[in-house]
Amino acid sequence: MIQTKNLTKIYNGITAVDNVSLEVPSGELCVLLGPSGCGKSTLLKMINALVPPTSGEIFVNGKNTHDIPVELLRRGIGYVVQNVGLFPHYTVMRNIGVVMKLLNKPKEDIEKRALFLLDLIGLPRSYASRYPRELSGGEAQRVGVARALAADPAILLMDEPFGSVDPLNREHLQNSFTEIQKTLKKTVLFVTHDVSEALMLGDRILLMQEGRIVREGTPGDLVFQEGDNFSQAFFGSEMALKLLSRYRVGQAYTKGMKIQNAACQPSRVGEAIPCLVSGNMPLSEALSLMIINGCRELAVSGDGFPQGTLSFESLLSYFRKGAPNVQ
Amino acid sequence: MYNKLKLYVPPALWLLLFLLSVYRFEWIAQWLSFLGPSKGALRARAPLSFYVFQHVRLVLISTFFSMVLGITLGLLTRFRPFREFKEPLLQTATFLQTLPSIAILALSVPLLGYGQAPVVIALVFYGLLPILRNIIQGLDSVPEEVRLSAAGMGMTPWQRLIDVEWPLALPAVLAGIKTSVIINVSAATIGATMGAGGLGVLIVNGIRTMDIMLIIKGALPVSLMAFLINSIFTLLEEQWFGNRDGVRL
Ligand SMILES: Nc1ncnc2c1ncn2[C@@H]1O[C@H](COP(=O)(O)OP(=O)(O)OP(=O)(O)O)[C@@H](O)[C@H]1O
Ligand SMILES: [Mg+2]
Repeated sequence: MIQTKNLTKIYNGITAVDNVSLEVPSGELCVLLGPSGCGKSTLLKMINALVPPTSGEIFVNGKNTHDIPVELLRRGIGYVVQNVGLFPHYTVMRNIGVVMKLLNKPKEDIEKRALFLLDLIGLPRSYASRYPRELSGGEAQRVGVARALAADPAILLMDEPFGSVDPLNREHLQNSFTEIQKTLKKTVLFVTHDVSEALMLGDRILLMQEGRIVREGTPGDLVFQEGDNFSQAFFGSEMALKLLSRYRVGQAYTKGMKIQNAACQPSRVGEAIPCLVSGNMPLSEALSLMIINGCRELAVSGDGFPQGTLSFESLLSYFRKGAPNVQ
Repeated sequence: MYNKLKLYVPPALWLLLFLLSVYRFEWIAQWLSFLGPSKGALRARAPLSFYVFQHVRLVLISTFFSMVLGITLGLLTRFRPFREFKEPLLQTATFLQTLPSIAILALSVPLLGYGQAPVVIALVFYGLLPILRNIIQGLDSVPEEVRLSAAGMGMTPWQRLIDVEWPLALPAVLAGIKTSVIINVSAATIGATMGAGGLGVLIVNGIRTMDIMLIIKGALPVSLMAFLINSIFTLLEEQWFGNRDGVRL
């Protein structure tokens, strides 16, 4: 659990973080969202004592961080630095193993763990012996994430961890991170200025503006409830579409229904055959398929989901039912 | 393999030339005989190698202490009570380095007197400057996010210095040591006027007796030694830090 009380940071007269009180319960992935310069990184750095607060208190797992020796505190928190910050003179393997080494883990364990993490972030194992200068920006960033995960900390502070990864790999990373998070249930404070990323990943989102938290809630809350001008402008009017990628076809479809609407046909094929989708498909892709194929209904099957259909109407009603569905 | 071997050619060549200038000066003298007959050059009181030995000893001892002092001071500026001195130290070092070595040595006579020890002290001080400056700048040039992640992962200040900042500053430190040695090889010739011996003795005597050959006899090994040292450091730099990026600049 991470908790801050009336946390303020003033840099020579400039208030970077202004009286922030927040709480991230254990196992929650909390997204800190906001425009450039609103104080996200500063807030994160205060939590692992890289920046001393001007006033206010921070609690990690119920303990005031003031009373924990800094090195001990930091070794228990995985930290992904904005702009990566890999050690240029260490190989990828050694970079990933830094915290484990600090915790005196045996060398074999470190190597095994590093290879496992390379698999996890989708880099070839041969990268273990590379130096950071031999990596692309996005690859380096993924190694930065692996490094933060290495010692299996219960708490993660991630400062724009996927910022320079290309869209395809980014989506892959976001998906695998959601998967990992489902099983590992880490307490995560995740900084981003990307609304889509926030809506897709966050259990809860804190919207920051000029050092203050101006809005907070689940992704569903933020999309469906009206916010102030800043919030509306920041989320943008297509925020509902961005929210769709958070949900899967399997959550919204109707089981056992026979396809009724024959309008569903891929245009290239003459016959009218229904579009078949998996229950694992994000709703955003399903909607996109409906638009591309000009159909209101998709057939669902495979990947262990009982057969059924997803219609445009059921998509709408899934969200219309409101809060219970939309977490 | 071929590329690696190629790196050893310049030091080997300079070493050969240096040894020739020390042990076969007659050849060079003969070759330069058009400059006029040598009065004292070819029958000096001591063999040339004796002065070379004195010179090298002077440089080695003073460089050793310059290194120890420079690196210690540089590392100290990373720690709390000394951190305040970093900027003043850097500025002083940069300023003092602009003074010619001859001025520093001349100034040291009234303070320290004549003989080997005062010269060594003056050389240590003068050679300290580039090392100190480079180590401070090298440590400062470690990227902010590297520093941040090192601290953020829970390394102690000492671990950060030894495992991260020092290795990253090493190329700059080595460059500082190189400058320091080369400066001191030439500055040490002035030591002769202060009674410290070395190759400067020949040069000073040559100037006094207007003997060009004697001046060359002293000056040639000094400059060849400087080239030799420079090429050795270039080799070390290439071996340790060379072409790391796979980028040719
Ligand atoms: N070391 C510092 N000294 C002075 N001002 C600082 C310092 N670090 C940050 N600031 C200021 O504090 C404010 C918040 O900075 P911060 O880095 O927390 O922003 P951010 O939300 O992380 O922005 P971005 O999305 O661009 O990373 C900015 O106005 C910045 O100029
Ligand atoms: Mg930031």
